[in-house]
Amino acid sequence: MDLIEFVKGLITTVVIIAWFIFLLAWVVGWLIKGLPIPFLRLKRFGGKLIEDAVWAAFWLAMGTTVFAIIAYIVSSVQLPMPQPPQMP
Amino acid sequence: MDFLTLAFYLSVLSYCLGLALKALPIPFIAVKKLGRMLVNEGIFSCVLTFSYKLIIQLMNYFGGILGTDWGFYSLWLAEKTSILLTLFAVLKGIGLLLSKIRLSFLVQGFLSQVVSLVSTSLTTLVATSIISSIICAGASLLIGLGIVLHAVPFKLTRNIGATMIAVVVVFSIGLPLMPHFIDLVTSTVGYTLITNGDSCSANIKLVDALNYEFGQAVIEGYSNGELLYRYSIDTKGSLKVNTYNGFPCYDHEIVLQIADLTYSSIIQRNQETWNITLHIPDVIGIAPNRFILIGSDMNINYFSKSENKVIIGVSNSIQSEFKVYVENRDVVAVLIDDVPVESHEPEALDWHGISYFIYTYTLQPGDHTISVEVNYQSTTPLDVDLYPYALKLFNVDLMSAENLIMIGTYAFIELTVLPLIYLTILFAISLNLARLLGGVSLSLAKLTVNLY
Repeated sequence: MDLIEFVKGLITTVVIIAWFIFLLAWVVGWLIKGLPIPFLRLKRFGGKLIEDAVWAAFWLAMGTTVFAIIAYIVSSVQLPMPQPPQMP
Repeated sequence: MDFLTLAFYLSVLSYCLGLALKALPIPFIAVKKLGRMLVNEGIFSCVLTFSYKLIIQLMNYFGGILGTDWGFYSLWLAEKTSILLTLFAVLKGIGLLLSKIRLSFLVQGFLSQVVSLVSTSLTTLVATSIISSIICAGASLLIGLGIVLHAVPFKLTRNIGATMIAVVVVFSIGLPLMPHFIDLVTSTVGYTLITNGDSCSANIKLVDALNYEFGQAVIEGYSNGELLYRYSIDTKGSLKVNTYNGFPCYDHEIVLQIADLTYSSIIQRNQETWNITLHIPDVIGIAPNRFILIGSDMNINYFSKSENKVIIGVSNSIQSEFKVYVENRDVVAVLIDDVPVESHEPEALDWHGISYFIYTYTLQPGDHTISVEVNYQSTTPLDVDLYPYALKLFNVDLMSAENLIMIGTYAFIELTVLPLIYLTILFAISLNLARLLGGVSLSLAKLTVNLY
């Protein structure tokens, strides 16, 4: 199998798994946060899980944009170089 | 396989893996940190992937500023290798000669020591030339491979990738500058150690009747009828002789040969370094190996010169002739007073591997305009047996054991110790650059240091 195709397949698998993890983390986070128990630390932990999951999902969704921006910015750095200085 | 595409997808994989780990609903901070690190790693590798062209451009740019010239470096390597091979052959010859007359026991010890020094230098030079060929030919490929290794997730091969990129960039810029480094260091002592200050350097320029640079030619030096040296002047009409090859430090006779023409003159020294401009009064260069030989009674009134065409206005009081020298594959068009002249059967001449055709034309008394245009494909290089002055000096004291040891040791320092010092400097710079690019492979560094 072509190495590039293999890596592409891996990316697809990882992205699918990442979305499932996000859903799981979101559900688990709300579950913990919504538990009818008086432990504030546990509830904070639930909130942290939700926060992390949402940020991860946001950057996952923004992936294409992030890489496009990098490509655009880095490629535009290839300006013509200044002339080398002349020694007197 | 496209390395850059692969590197890009590996960066994306790192990024996605990082986010998946970051989203995991588990209370381990280490896992979250690993996820964050993977995201950063993916973005950095992606930046590096898209900087591929920029890296190549920067490499060429800094190379240009510092005066990197692979052609000069190859010439230097070839020159030094040929000197060492000559030295090697001479030493073997002496050994063989002495063993024939059963006197080898006299010098066997020191001779084998000198031979081993010379062969070590030769090995170092050949190894350096192999490294340089790999880097020169495969720089872009190796950088691409380095970027792929840099992009592998979890920093598995990141430091090796960074080291590879850094080594290729630094060596591409720095390796061709090695001759300058060695010249700079050795210029303080030069060849004086061996020749007791008898070998000088020289810059020789050859110009034609119109004061344009002219090549190619063979230059020989004589003192009391004895050959001192033989060098060739290149297609740009210049010859630079360093103290290693050597040039006599005293007044002597110079004999210049161009095809079947010979000129001689006595040169007198007035400076530390010889700066000689040799002027040929009756030759007008058209291109390398192509020229007009004008008669002694012809006066040049005006001239114009382009890439492969010369127009001259001449006046002569008596009937005279001029000759046009070209290589045998060239196409020549000669016009006298704007009238095309039928060429006669040319005279053929072989001179140091160059096959000349010599066309002769007659001019009636009066003022004339001569236009000569030569269309040519290539310039044949001079095939001449060079005879450096150093070899002459060496021959003088051939049987002097201490001179042989000095020459061998000097060659060892110049062509083994100094190149190794320079390579170490370049490697140290590479490691620092690799650290900037994301890490140094210590195992690779140790391995390379051990190799040297």
